[in-house]
Amino acid sequence: MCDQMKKKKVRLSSSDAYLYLIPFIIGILVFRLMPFIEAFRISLFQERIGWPEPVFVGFGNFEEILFGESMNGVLFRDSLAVTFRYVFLTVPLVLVVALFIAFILNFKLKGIGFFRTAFYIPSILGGSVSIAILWRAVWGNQGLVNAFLGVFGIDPVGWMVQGGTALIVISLLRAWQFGSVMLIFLSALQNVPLTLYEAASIDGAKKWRQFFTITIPIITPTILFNIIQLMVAAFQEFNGPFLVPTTPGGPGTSTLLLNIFIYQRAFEQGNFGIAAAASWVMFVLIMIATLMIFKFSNKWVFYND
Amino acid sequence: MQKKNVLGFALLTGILFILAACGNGDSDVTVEPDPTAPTDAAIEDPNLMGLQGTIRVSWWGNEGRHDATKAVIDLFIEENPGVTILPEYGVFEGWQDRITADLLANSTSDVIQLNFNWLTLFSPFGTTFMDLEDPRITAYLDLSNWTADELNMTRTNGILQGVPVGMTARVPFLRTDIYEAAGLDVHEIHTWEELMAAGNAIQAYHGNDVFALSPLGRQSLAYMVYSYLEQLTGRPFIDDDFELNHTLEELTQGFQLIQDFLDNGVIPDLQFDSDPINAQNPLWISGAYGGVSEWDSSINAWIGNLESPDVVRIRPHFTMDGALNSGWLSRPSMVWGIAQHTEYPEVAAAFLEFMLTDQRAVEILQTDRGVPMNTAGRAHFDALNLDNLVIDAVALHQNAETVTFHPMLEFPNVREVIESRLEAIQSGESTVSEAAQFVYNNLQAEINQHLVD
Repeated sequence: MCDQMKKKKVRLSSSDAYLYLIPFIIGILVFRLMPFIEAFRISLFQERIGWPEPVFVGFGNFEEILFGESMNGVLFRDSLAVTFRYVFLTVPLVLVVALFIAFILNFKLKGIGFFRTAFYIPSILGGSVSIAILWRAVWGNQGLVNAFLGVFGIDPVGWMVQGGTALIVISLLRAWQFGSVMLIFLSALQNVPLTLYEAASIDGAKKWRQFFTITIPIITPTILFNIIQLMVAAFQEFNGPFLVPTTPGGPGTSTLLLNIFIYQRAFEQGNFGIAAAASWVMFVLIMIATLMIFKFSNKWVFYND
Repeated sequence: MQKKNVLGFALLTGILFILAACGNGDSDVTVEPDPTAPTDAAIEDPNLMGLQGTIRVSWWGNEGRHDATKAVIDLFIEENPGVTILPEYGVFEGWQDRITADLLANSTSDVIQLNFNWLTLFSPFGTTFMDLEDPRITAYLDLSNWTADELNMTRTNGILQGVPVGMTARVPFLRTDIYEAAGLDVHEIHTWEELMAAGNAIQAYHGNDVFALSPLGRQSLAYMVYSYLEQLTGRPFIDDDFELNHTLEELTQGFQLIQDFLDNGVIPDLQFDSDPINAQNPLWISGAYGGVSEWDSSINAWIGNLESPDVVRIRPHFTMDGALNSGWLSRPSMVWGIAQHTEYPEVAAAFLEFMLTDQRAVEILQTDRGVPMNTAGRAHFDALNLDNLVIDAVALHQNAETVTFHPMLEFPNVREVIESRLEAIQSGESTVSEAAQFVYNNLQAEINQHLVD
């Protein structure tokens, strides 16, 4: 029987592999690369619905958003600042929360399966309208958080209607959905050799010391991966600031992330040249940030090899 | 080594743009396919042939409007068995974004309900939508039901891009229960000063968490300022040459109105209410707000959520002593257009004619799109003798001297300049003079972006 199975085994050549890759490659070309290049072409034109011919403006759209005094320029730079604040707020927050929960869930506790599922569920819910309504119910003026604070005699806080706190509320929504990052950490934690902990215990190392001198260094490649993907996702955040505040990106420009700016220019104003230019600036920023993280990663990321 | 770096960079680039391209494609649009497809017999029978073709009709609105419009479609199909109409409808929120995407992809529905300002936004040269004076259209759509002035409102570059459905304006409506408890008669509140006094009286009686009006919202705040400045100066905010029509001092006076509202308990600051200011707003329903200023066509939705809808009274626009203008700013409530790419312009035109002027269609639609403007539709509408607050509200501004709202004031970037600053005053992030200076410095440049040399 075993011999028969072996006989049926087919060896695939590299050309077969490419054959299987074709659908993926076509998808990448049509749905990723082409829009990517097309967006760059559009960014060089003043292109608007209802206007007869797009006008070639070179890098004029880039100049307008980066240095111009028009609302496009002012708001783009505002949104850039807001986006950086959001990234610096969200990425460490999600990283720390996810790692902490994963660390706890890595212990052999009773009913651990239930807790793992419970912590993962918010990630499945995504950034839908229903979640936005839930978040308003939690952080609204008459919401759950203020009701809780009221128990201690603390006056209600306008979490979502004050520029200073609205971004934090949006950031907490992302932090609440830490399940995927937590799972990746959990899987990394489970791959840390137990013998290292045993040796450390024999040498008298406490749990916290084991965590910082064994666990963290060994999972640094996973931390790097999570930082990169969290950062890219944070730069691209859309649903939270679009759905949760009373006005998308509001109050004022306090939650006007880059993607909201791009969306408003393109689909509310029909100004595709500006939107495309802003998209490319966002791409370049993500690229630079990623390269920098990679460049400095050799100082703190440890690979087994 | 160099090769490895180049490859690594290429891979990184690839990964990044794959990650960067991830998006979201939620949609809240309802598409109903093929309500009653014509039978083969009907198509083959020359007596029943008449109009033939399949068209898509799109609109935004509430459930009432959806049901009424679908009933009109069914009636039209019943009379034109060779026609199939596919309805596409949804709520207003996000509808403009959908239209933008459709226009970009040249896939708009054949018959489109449009917001007034979308004509100039999407069709500044009069080329995006079909010219409704095209003989294929006028053979079915009787344009003599509108006056030349009415049709001029929906022309861009001299080309008729749509037909207006009715006129609308933002109308104040006040709750007698809130005002009367504070010893006020809503019928005695005419001027801005009286409104300020009412705000103080309401807070003195009800406490600091009850206000004469709702927070209004960005757009409604701006409308208040436009009205106030027109009454004060007799001039519209933007003139016929697309120029800002007020001095810095006048703008400051206009913006001071919002600060006065805040200081006199007329409206709360932005931190007071974290819910959207709409008909479902919990504080409006619970009685924290003594009134709102909203589109006349939405009145039924606003009062429908109250425990006692009969406490609401529609009021004329607030005014001032020596006002040079009524302050009513009216505009076409909505416009029907026909897509440039439609294969069946005759069917589209015939359907519009039926929906807007047929007696049965008018009876079905009632006030779901406000009060009809076209003479045939209006005659049928008047014959219905409806008892509806929308009709009373429309009568208020219809019988007053109104100024047609400049469509440029609804362009998103123009609105952004003005409304963001008014919101900043309401949130306490900006002083009146800072806000006025910002608008004075930046508005014209934003208007100019839409002008053709």
